[in-house]
Amino acid sequence: MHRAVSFYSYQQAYYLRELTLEQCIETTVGFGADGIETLAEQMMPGFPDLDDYFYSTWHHWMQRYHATPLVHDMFLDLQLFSGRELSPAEQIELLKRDIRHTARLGCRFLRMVVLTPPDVVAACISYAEKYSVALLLEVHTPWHIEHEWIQQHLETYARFGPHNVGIIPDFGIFVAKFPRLQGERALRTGVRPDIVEHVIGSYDAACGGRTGPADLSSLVADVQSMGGGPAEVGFAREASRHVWSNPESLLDVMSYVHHVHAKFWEVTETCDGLREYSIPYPELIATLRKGCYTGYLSSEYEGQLWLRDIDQVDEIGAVRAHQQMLSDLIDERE
Amino acid sequence: MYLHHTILPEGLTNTMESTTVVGFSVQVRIGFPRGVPLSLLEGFEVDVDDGSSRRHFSGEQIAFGLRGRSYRPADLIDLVTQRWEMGEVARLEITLAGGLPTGPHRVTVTQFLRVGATPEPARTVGTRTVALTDHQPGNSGASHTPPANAAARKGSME
Repeated sequence: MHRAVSFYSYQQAYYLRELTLEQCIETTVGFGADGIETLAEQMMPGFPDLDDYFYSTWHHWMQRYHATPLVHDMFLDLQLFSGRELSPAEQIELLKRDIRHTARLGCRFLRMVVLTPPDVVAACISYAEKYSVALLLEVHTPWHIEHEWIQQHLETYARFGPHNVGIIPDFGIFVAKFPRLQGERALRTGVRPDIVEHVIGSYDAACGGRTGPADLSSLVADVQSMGGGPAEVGFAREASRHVWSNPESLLDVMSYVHHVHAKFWEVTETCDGLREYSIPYPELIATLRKGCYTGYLSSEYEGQLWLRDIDQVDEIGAVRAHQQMLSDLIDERE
Repeated sequence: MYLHHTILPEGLTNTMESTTVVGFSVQVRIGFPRGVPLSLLEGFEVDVDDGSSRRHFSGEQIAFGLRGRSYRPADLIDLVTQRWEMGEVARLEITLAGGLPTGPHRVTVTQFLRVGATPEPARTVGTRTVALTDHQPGNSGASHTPPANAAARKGSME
């Protein structure tokens, strides 16, 4: 297994112009990772009309920093036009546009958002093959591998085989313990402490059986019955979007797992080493190893969500710690 | 998204046409972790609290200024060829005869972005205390912030 970083992790630094795209690359390889995952709509202004000079500069950076262009993360704005959804034909054209961009970056993989319809994907697989690009659907919370929508996708992909199509499991579908930072932020913003405690306790109890997916359907009703107001109900709704699913579900679909979003919010020091507070990385990496996964684990930091109100976001520090944890767990010395 | 960073600490100014103060403007960044086509901008609301009064502005009272151009709400409908990039500074131009008084103002900007799977727009709210500075000519569009990847343009490989 290898290490990558999704530049989603550096979003605030880029937003405030503290890091350029090139500096994101330099920072990433400085952690010993070589895989580069970018979001054109985030850090490549001018997309989709990037000029030849941009692409030649990009390849110069890849050589200069000994980096591997790995994944282009596409977005699909289904509501692009007011009053209607994009037609399948329009969605197909946008996906083909992003396939061409992926190829120009030298990336093997294109990340499709989870709402991309299976038929749209199917219509683009042979086009992607011509560009040596594999189309990968991100399996992101609140969906999970065993969800009907994902199973529909996999049934469609089975007609083509796994070489040019597959999935990217986001580790946010394996949340075993409620994120501490999310609870702390709720308290800072005035959510009733007893309700925060109830929601966290309910989530952790639902995931305790570890046979997943956890049933969180009663959380909102519980909070309403406790007299929770809009803030409390909103917190319960957010909490019910987390997913705990069985890591073993990866093994059933391993031939279609070409890339992994190593989602994290908080890396902590424990007596067993660095660990993500909510997501059981040792178990997940052991499962991937069992499934003979040889792709990349791409650090995807999202802790900014729950720290931005107190201005304590340190994206570089967070990614550094996560990359160290991955390195330790993957045991690259072997 | 990024709460108070969506409002810049500088650039709250009254705007003038000829010698008449016709409104005020505030510099903003998109409240979303990526840039979007302007067609996805469903509108803005601006609330200003200077301690003695609270004012609310929305709809046609607000023009969106970007890279030297000013857009009324109707101009943004289905405008897919122009984008508001992530971190790029834009300007909201609010119509208010006489403008705002000098001094600090607690400004809240709500952005409505149609970025989800349904037509219901996502809502981002940022609040910041900003001091009113010098007058600015009206309908000037955004103060331009060069993209972060200026090195990726012709002329430089740094």
